This record gives sequence, C-alpha cells and structure tokens, in this order.
Amino acid sequence: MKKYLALILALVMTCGVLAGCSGNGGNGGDTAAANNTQTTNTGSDTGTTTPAAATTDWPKDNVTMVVPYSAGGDTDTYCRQMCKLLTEKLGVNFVVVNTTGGAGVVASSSVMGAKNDGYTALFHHTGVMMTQEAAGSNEFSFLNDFEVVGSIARDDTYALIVKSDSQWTDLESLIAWAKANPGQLKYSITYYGATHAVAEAMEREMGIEMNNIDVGSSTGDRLTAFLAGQCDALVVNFMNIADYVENGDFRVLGICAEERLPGLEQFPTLKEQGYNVVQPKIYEVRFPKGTDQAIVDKLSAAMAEVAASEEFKSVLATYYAQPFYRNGADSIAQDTETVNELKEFFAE
Amino acid sequence: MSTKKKGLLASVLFLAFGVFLFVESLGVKHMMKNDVGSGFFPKVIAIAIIAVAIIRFVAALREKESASGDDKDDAVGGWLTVALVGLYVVAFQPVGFIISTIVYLFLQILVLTPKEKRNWITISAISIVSPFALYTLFTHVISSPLPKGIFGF
Amino acid sequence: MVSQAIHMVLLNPVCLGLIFVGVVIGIIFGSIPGLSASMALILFLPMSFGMDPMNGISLLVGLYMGGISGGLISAILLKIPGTASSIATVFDGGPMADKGEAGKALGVGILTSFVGGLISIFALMFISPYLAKVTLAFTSAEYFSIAVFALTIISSLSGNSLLNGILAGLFGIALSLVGIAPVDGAIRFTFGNAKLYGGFSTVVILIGLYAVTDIIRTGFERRGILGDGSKYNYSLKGYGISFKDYISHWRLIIQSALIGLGIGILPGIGGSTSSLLAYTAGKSTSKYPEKWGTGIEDGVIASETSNNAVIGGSLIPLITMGIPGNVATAIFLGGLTIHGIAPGPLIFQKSGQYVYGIFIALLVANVIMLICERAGLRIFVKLLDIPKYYLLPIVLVCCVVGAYCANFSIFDVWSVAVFGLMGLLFKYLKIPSTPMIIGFILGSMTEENMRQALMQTGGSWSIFVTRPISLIFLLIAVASVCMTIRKQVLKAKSAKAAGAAAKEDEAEE
Repeated sequence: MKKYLALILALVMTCGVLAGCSGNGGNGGDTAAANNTQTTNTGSDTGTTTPAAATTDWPKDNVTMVVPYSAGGDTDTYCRQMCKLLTEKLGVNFVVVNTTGGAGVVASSSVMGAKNDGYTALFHHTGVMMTQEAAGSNEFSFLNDFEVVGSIARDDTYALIVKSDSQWTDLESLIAWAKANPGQLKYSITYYGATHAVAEAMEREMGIEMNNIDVGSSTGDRLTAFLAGQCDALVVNFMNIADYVENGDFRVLGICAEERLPGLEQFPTLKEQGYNVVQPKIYEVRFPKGTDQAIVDKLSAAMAEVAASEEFKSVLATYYAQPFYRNGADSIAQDTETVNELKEFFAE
Repeated sequence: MSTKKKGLLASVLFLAFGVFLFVESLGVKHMMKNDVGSGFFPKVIAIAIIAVAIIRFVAALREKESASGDDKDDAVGGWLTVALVGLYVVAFQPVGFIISTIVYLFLQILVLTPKEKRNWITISAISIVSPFALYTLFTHVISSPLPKGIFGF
Repeated sequence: MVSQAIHMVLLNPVCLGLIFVGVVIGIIFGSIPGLSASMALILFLPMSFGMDPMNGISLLVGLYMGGISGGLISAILLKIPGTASSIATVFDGGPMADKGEAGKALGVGILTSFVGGLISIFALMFISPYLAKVTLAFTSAEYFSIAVFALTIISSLSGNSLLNGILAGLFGIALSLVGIAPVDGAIRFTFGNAKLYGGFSTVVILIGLYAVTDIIRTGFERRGILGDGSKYNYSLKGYGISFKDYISHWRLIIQSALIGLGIGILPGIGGSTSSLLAYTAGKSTSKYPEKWGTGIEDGVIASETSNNAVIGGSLIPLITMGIPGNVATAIFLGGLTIHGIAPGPLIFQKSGQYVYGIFIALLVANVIMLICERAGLRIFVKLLDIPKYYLLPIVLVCCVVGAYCANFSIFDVWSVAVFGLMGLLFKYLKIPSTPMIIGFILGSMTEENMRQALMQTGGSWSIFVTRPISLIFLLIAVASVCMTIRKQVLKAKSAKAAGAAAKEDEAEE
C-alpha cells in the first residue's frame, strides 16, 4: 500500500509542477498524515525551511484542534470554548475534532504524524500525558516529540470520596482501616490514567496498600460501580459528584490540590492533612514537531488573551476549573518536574 | 470451486488464523497480579477457533461435491471495482477528496453501467456535482474538514 | 414546575421549531451510514450553548431522537445499517424491500419506532427513580453474562452452516482484541502500528462489510444489474399495516420495548446490542421462527421498537444519577452542564422545570419524528428508482466520507476497503458476515467485564454463577445453544432421510 501511495504522490506532484501549481495551500483536514515517509515527502513542498520570522501570516485557513476524548466531557468542553474565542481573535475557524481510543494515544500519534504547518494541533491534559510519560508506556514523548504551545486551563478538583453510609468517617479512619487490612481497600483505578498516579501517591504518602481494581475507565462506569459498591474509594472530578455530596450520599475525604479551591473552600485538601497527593489536570496545546516558531508564538499569545478573558473564566467556573496560561517553555519545564516526581513513584 | 473445496479452504484459513492468534497471545505481557492478563481471553478465543476449524474441516471432508455457482461471475467488472475502491482510498488523502472522488465516481459508474445505458453527460454530471456538493456540505455546513490534497482544495 | 415547563416548550414556537429542525437533521445523520446521532449532537452542541437553556436542550433532544430513528431508512432501502443500532433491521427489512414491500417495511418501522420511543419516555417520566436502582444491581458479572447470552444470537443468525457462523463470530471477537487492552492497558496485536492502538471502530467494519462488499459484488454481477425490469409500486396508505394487524403483534412490541428499555438503562451496552437481543428474543418466542429473515414485518418491529426504546432508557441513569451510558448521552450531559443543569439525585429539586421540559420535548420530538418520516417516506423510496449503477458509487463515497469523519483518521478509510475485501472473501467461502459484526460488538464487553469481575473475587469464577441475575442469563444462554444444536441435528437427520428417499426413488425408476 505504501508503494502505491508513493507512486501516486509522485505522479500527482509531477502533475502539480507541470501545471505550474505551487501546491502551497494549508492542509486543514490533514489530521492524520499516513506515515513519516509521507510527511517528509510533502514537507519539501510546504517550504518549512524558511527561517523562523518574528511575524507570520498564519493562520490563513481552518485550524484543526484534535481532542483525544469524545464530545461532552471536560477536555472537550474547555477545548471548544477556547476554540470559539480563538476563532473570534484570529479570524479563521478553529475546528474541534474528537479522535478517541487508546487512552489518548491514537489522537496524540495522529497529530504527531500530521503536517507541521500549524494547521493541526493537539489539546490534551497533563493528568494522562505525564503519567504515560513517566510510565514510559508510549513509544513517543509528549515533551520531546511535539512543539508545546502552552497551557490554557487547570482543573484541580480530583476529590477522594467514600460513601456516607460506609464505616469511614474521615481520612484518618480510612487510612487506619487500610493499614489494618492491607490490600483490601478497593480503589477504582484506570491504568496509565491520572487515577493511577493518585493511587501511587496515596500508597506512598499514606503508607498503605490498596486493592487497585479496574471497574471501567469512563467516569460514568466508575461512578456506577462506586454506587453499586464494587469499589470502596473513588477519585473523581468534583463536578461529577457535586449533587451526591450536597445530598449527603458521598463524603469528601480530601481534594488532590495544592490549596483549597475557590467555590470549594469547605473541602480540605489531602496536602493540608499531611499527605502530599496533588493531581492537577493542566490542559495544554501541542503542534507537531518542527512547526515554525513564529506560529507557535502567535498561537501562544492568543491563548494568553483567551485565558485572561471573563467569558472563558465563567465557563470554567461551572466545572470548578480555572484559566491557567503558561507559555511553551514554562510548560515543558514544569511538566518535566512532574514527570521526574512520578518516575520515582513508578520506580518503587 | 465446489462448496466442499470452499469448506476445506475456509477451515484451513481459520485454523491458520487461530494458531497465529494463539502464538501472538503468548507474547502479551502479564502486567497486574490481580488480573488474568490481556493474553488470557485471546488465548481462549484462539483455542476455540482452532477447535471449531478442525470440526469444520472434518465436516467438509464428509460433504459431497456440489457446484457453488460462481462461474457466472463477471470477473472483469468485479476486479475492476476492487481496484477502483483500492485506488480511491489510497488516493483519498494525498490527492484530496474532490479530485479523487470525481475520478473514482466517473470510472466506477462507467464500470457498473451496461454499455447500452451509458450516458456520458449524466455520468460526468454526477461525478462532478456530487463531490463538490458533499465537500461543501461537510466543510462548510457541518464543519468537518475533508482532505484537501495537494492542490489546496 | 410542570406548567412552567409547558410554557417553555409547548407554548414556545422557537422551541418547537428547534425540535423540528433537530429531528430533521437527526434523521439525515442517522440515515447516512457513517454519520450518527452522536455526530449530529457534537455538531450542534456549541450552537446550543448560545441559546436559552430550554431551547438548546430541546434542539439536542430532537437531534438524539431523529438520529436514532433515521437508521432504519438506509437499513431497509440500501441494506446498509445507517447506525449500528439498525443492524437487526436489515435482517427482515432488506428481504422485504426485495419483495417490493419497501414502503410497508418503512411504514411499520416508523410506526413501531414511535411506539418504542413512547413506551420508554413514559417509563422515564413515571418510574425512572425505581428503574435507576436496577442499574446498580448489574455489576461486571452480570454484564459478562448478558454479553455471553447476546453472543448466542450468532447461532440463530448463522443460516445454513452453524460452524461457519461460529467461526465468523469468533473471528469478530478476535478483531475486537486489537489495540490497547481494557483493564491493564497492555498493547496487543498492533504489530507496531500506532494507528491500531485504538482498535477498529464498529462503523468502519459495518461500512466495509456492507457497503464496500456490496458494490464489489455488484461489479461481479454487473450483467444482472438491470434487474428483471419490473417496477414495484411502493406507495401505501397509512403505515402499510392496519391498526388491527399491528396490535396483533402486541406481545412482540412490549417484549422488544422492555428489552430496549432495559439495555438503555444499563450504561455502556448500547442500541446495537438491544436490537439484536430483541430480534433474537422475538425469533425464539415466535410461532413461526423459520420465517424470520425472509422478510416479515415481525423482524422490523422487534429491532426498531427496541432501539428507540433505548432513548428513554439511556436518559434514566443520566438524569437521575448523572451517569451517561453512551456517547450520545455524554454529549447531552455536556449540553446540560454548560447551562448549569447538573443531572444527579437533586436535579428535580434544583432544575425541575428543565427535567419536565426535557420530558415534554421528548414527547414532541417523538411525534415530529413520526410525522416527518411518514411524510418523507414518499421521497425515501424514490431512492430505489435511481439506477443501481449510479446509486451504489455515490452511496460508497458517502460511506467513505462518513468513515473518515467518524474519527478523522485516514487509517479508517483504508480499513474500510480492507474489510470490504474480507467481506468478499467471506461471501466467496459462504461464511456469513453478520456473526462477525456481532462478535466484534460484543467481544470487548465480554472480555472487559470478565476481567473486572474476576478482579473483584481475586480470580474465582464462581461469581458468575453465585450472583442470581448473572446465573439466569448464563442459563438462558446455555438453553439457547442447546436448542440450536438440537435443531441442526434434526435438520441434518431429515436431510439425510430425504436424500435416502430420493435415492430409493431413482433406484425404482
């Protein structure tokens, strides 16, 4: 199949040259370039060799933003909101496409293989990316094999909960029970997801050993299993359980944040209770490796403006999340720290 | 090919696939201590395929030869269609949606249409109008970008 | 609160208009193979953000309703299921169209979709808090047993060769194993290709095996493409079925609606399984099971009643517990959240007027669906008047575009062609391809829940027989397999007897 591809490509490119067509158009629909050979083939054709200039006429065409989750979830909603505001700012459509599967790996690798012309980008969060990075479960690196544009938002609302009718009234009683019954506390885990990192941190910080079981990977499945008593402790975004907490069904033992969150001040963090379990989800944008620095800078600057806008802030507030801008270099530096910390956990 | 030979061929193909699946399953790493592992279920399925394929083979041996009636097939039309679909999906991205679809539709309709029914104007009209209509619909109305190819459209 | 809801929906022309638009667009998305209800929802989700909450939600309700029911159109007319939920509609709807009863098949399908939808909406309105509790009685063990039971449908859909059907089913299960494994995330059977990490998607296999195989087969049989030249008259009065005849199927209708409702309530199973289950259940409880699959209205009724009953069912865990059971309801949840409506145990206290608004919008959308599809029926059947040599290539292009847009992956487009060739090989070797799709759909559900249940018990298999609901499903599964084997043996015996008799006749002559 590759042979044919190359053949046709060569044929068509020759035709293009003969017709005097430069073939320089942006390729907005190109979310999944077939393979590396193809990328190099077409790369020669897009003029990426021009040195990075301070100004760029990007964007001239629709920009495709790939989200690794299906529509309706937190990642998708933040991305759509950001894209709506970027569309207003930069004057071209920022189109969101949902490419699901493989815990985000399918979307990530499709963006990695796409043309580095600034018209395809990845919107993903660190909760999963950095866990996978530290576990070394992927054949690529989120830090080295992309051009990191920057971050736009953060969600610190991971809450450790138990059911109100359970025997655990607070964090200490849960830890005491877990110590007395090693390997018995059923914790809902998604391997190489953010809950995996939380599990590792909890076991280390609290000195306990849990029974990490898989009861599904979507929030819906995990919440159902928790309600049905298939697992004892659950770590989940607060907005998914807000009603249950208000209704007195669930008890929040702690939030996995650095400090108490605006709007959720009544809930203590795990950190203030003496256990350094912090699991932020920071939403970042990435271009394929080798994208023109001027394009990266221009998008990053626009993202900074979006993060500062009231409209963006108010949408995030419904999810108890906050705008959080940092540029590419800062993102890489801080993410690298996170990865190194996580690596220690996984090494043990 | 007679139905008996087809039965034999099918069972041999599935047997080979079952063995292949089993061998591949052996290479799947067992990662968690409280789980049966990701190689377990594939092995079960592989063994089931091997077992059923063997039974199918024995059953096929006992069948009587009987004509299956695919000698009436129009091999030219069939294989041309296979080739066209194959070329179309390969060209879909590098050449772009519009051009590849125009060419595909034109040739495909030509292959399928009986000689006495060929109407060049209708065929050309359908193969040119439909890609543009679809492209407009998808990229502009429902904002799902289709591959643009090397000509920028 | 109810009066407030009536005011916001029924007495609001904008809202009614949006439901209408939603239903029509949903039907279009549902009827084109590759496009789906969830894609329609994704597309209009951002638009609904900017609207008044009730208007935005009503638009989504219309899209969901239209998108699920639109699948029957292509299932019957093109024999390509527009959505995975309509696979079972093809079994009898296709043969009905071949017999010249396309209009009747569509009419019955539309009418029964409405009834299925209506039953599930009433269930949602009046008994959802009780039904929500049912969700919690089903754990991984029960899901596993349901999947095993659903897999036994393969034996009744295998046609003449049970062994070929089982092989195809197992092959489908094997295909579902590709990619990142459930539970531990192990990467398997990808052969180093990152595009395979997410596995194959159902829509790709559906389009490959139905649309691509179909057009290639047409190529092989192009001499017969003109057909026998006889034109059918598809026009019909009412819904092509008299009220009395329809009601005579009441047992089947209720049974299928309950299956759809039940599957809808359980998160993560989905409409495709429900229509397959309803079809099998209908066939095995029918007085004339041998006629199923030859083009009788019963098959269409079973499939279409149940897949529309999933709609109300799937909204039950969403609204009462905030748990989305499928992609469409997950998007729906996003739409509600952005308007500050948080589904969950307190939704009636906090946003009661919107909940009643959703109920009314569902009822309105169901009626609009009935009217629109009946009115459009005349146009739909015109499709059959287009010569096949024009229609099939265009359908194939639509399918390829649909496959591409489902996940924006060119790899999916290539896979469509590969599965088309595989379907061709299957046809050549006389292996039925439907069992393969069923195996594929149910394969990952079987494995994931089996492993999760075993994790609960620390590896003891007894969990599947000690939990009563799980045991019941397994027993039905065993019984259904035994019955099929017995039938096959009887059939083989009678065939042998007939063969022997024929020989004797020859000898006498």
